[in-house]
Amino acid sequence: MDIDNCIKACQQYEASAQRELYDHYVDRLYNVSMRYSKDKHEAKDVLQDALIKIFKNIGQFSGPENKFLPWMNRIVINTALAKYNKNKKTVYSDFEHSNEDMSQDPVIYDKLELEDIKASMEKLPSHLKITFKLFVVDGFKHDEIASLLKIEASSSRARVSRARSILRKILSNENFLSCPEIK
Amino acid sequence: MSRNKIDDITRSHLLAESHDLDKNAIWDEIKHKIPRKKKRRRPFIILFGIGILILSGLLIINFIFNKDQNVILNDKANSSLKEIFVDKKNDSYEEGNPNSNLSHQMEIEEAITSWDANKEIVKNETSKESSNLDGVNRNKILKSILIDKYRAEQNFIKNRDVVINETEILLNNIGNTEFKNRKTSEFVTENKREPMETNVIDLKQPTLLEQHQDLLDSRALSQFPILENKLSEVYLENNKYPNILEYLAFSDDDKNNNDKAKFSIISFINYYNYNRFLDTNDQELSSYIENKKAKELKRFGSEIGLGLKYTMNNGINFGIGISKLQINERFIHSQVVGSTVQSVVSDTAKFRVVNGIRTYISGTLKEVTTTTRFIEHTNKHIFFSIPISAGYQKKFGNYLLTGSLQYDFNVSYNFKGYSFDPSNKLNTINSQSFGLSNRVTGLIGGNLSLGKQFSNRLSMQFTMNYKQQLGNIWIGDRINQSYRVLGAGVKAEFNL
Repeated sequence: MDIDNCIKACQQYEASAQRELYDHYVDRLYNVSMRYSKDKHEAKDVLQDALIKIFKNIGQFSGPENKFLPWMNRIVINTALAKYNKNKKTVYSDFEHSNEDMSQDPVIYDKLELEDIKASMEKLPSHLKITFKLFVVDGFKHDEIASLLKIEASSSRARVSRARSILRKILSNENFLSCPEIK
Repeated sequence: MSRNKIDDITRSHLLAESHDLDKNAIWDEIKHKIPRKKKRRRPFIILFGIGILILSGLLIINFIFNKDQNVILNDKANSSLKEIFVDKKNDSYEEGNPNSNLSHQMEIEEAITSWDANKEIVKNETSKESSNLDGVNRNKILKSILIDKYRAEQNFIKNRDVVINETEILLNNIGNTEFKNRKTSEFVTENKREPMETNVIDLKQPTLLEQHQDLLDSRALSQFPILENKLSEVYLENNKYPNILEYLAFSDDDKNNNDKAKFSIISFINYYNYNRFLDTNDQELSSYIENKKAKELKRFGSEIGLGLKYTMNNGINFGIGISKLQINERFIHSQVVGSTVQSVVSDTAKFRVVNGIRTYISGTLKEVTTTTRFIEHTNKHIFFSIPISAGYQKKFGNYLLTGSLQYDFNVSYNFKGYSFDPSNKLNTINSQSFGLSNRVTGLIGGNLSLGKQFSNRLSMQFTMNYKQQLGNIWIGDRINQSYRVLGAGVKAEFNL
């Protein structure tokens, strides 16, 4: 069954189609869930809640097939952010100014590994990390991020800028950006 | 440039990141929580199945267990050969036998002339025409021995032993009697009956009272209903969530609804096996009770009912209901309806050793014929029960494990069956008053259930019940009984 027919069958609540759709997308949705969760356990919780929402509301999806995955990704992210908003305890200032130094432009990034990126990302404050991921990785616009996180669009821009700056510092301190052979 | 680069490298790495996931585990968690077309049909299928189950139970109860006419299976003449050693010259017993004119009830068996002290000479199962309990024969029968086959055989052995013992005593008392010695082997080989003693040995017959002592047991033929109470169901349910994930899946409205203590309706069907404890305060009925115990053909009892249950948030719950119980009783009852007739088959002799002297005692070999009627009783006893229960339920995912205690008020309502009137005449009885006393009895017991929650509204459970009667039910004023039951059944619970 192709994805388009599978979606239509799921809109009729056919059990076999639901399982097929689940098998086809669950890994990708889990990766998205992991991106916005603090650990695997929370990611699975988010994934389950999101899947239930997806199958309950799949009848409302009417777009083309290529919009289906982004639609599901958005549900997963929304679910994760709802949990994040519910659990967050610290209020960060959204008006931090960026100190990005554009003059320094090392080409070391191509040598970075996934673990380096992840380690650096983990050192970011959570609000900056989430905002940065929403903007950079999942392609949300600042006004959409503002709506999701209940902040101003300008704050979203500031967070992304601040996150970049911190990432650069972290990577510099780890000597990723100062290796002579790379420079 | 730097910004774009750091964005690109971060995006490419994070998008390429993948994590292992146990797909089946996640699917198992969510598959019951997502809307499905088949799930919409499930309640109807379950309700349909429950309906079929209830109808099947009713059909079984009404068309199989309700076979309430009783059957006289057959009448059989049982002939026994009995050695009675008497003085042939003074044998006046035959002349005085009031049953000697009942020739049609006699059946002469082939004479057995060889003596074997260790062999019980009995022949049974000879066909005989049916006897009639009414009229002149009835009076003759009542004057004769009215005992069942089992008792008749037992008494035959007992009476013979009495005769032999008396023979020993009499022989021992005859000190000056001269006996001719003769070897047993010679006697057997030649198969001759030669009275050797010169003196007449007057061996006493069992008295008429001794032979007819079981006449007293005729009252035992007055059958009374045997009561069997069956027990009802314990109602337990819990509305805890299987796990936190399921809890999170519910909307706030659902959670508020599910978290509240609630009422539910329960329907149930049970089938029971039972152990019955009969007792009597009447010595004359003891043989009847023993007979009934020995020839019971086990049949299952059945129960159907409805209940109302209140469940608290912590799983503790209380229930009350009403149920109809039907106890199905079946047993074979045998009674001797023909006269016990003795007729001389042949003369015989008995080898004895008295005071070290081998001798023979002459006597007659007689046939004892009785006619036994076998009656299949199929009775049913109907009760209404009010069960009150308290219990606790634990959930393991969608599976339910329940334990509870229960007390029943059990009211005897009706009896349909076959019994005897005071004059021992068979009558069919369909009455709500059958000489029962202590109609209301108490039952206490335990219940263990294992089931599955199919939806927020419906669960089904298989149950095992054990119950013990606290007091005895009296039938008339002579027979009482108590019982304990072990049963299994199914119940369906609908949350309101």
